[in-house]
Amino acid sequence: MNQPPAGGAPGEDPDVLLDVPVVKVDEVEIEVEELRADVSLRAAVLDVLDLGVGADVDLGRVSLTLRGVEAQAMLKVRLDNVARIIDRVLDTVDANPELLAGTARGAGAAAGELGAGTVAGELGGGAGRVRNGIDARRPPRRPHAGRETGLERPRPAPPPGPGPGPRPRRDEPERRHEPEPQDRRERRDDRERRAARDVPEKADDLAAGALAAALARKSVRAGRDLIGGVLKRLPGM
Amino acid sequence: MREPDVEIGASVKADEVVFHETPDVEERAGAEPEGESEASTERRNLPRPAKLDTTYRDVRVSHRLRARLTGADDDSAAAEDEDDPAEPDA
Repeated sequence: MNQPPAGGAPGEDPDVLLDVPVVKVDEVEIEVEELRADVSLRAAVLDVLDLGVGADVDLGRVSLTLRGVEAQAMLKVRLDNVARIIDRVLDTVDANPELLAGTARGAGAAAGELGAGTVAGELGGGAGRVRNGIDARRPPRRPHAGRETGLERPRPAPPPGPGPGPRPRRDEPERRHEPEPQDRRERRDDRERRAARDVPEKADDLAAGALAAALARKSVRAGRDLIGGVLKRLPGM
Repeated sequence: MREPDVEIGASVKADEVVFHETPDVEERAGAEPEGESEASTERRNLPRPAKLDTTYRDVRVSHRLRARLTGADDDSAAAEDEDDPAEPDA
């Protein structure tokens, strides 16, 4: 046949291609019930993005006779557009891990307002799995030069000491073990106070809370809009 | 439409075609949360709708169904190139 039934830009091969080039039949009688061609593509990123695209053709009943037939069929899937969308979402999460932490906190707070402890557990657990999933399965997308991943790290083990017992007093000069440096202790205390308050303090925390609220409403579009807003605030994006 | 994400195409050329029953055809294409779709058909020597038990000669039908997600980076392109949603083609 002179031209293909479907095609893309020259030189750009699809990622998935089902091609029936040419079928030639002298004569054929066709009686078909429920003939269907269906192609779809679905992708999800955490709870933030859930997208799908598809096309299907359904022939309920066909009865015809053809003579001197040449037929072609083609099915194509291209992933670059979907990959680009996912890449942007992952870059956003990568650069703003607070979004994930905020999702868990915001969901917990929202559920607390509703008095639904079960929901809080599920949403919080989901966010935790998401964070672990990123850490475990996904290699770094680009070098993280000094960037915090935002993932919780295990606290350093306490220095080896004599074991359980009263903490050494500062005014005991004969003790062997040096007391914890003051600046380190202050940082630790500061972290603990922040955790105890659990109050958003930064703009990203506020955005994360709003994102969690949007997710709680199952509004993917609202979540995407919020991510877009975060993107605009990021330098160089 | 820009390069579609999914695409179904078929083409048939026949010296003679006779329909014994009216085809019941449905087709759908689209994208979530937002996207665009397009259906295009080329017919030669085959009227719409085709009549039953009539012999059509030197027939050619080519049909293509496409859909594409519109993301943040091509919303403007989608607005420039608005396509009608896919419609069933008898």
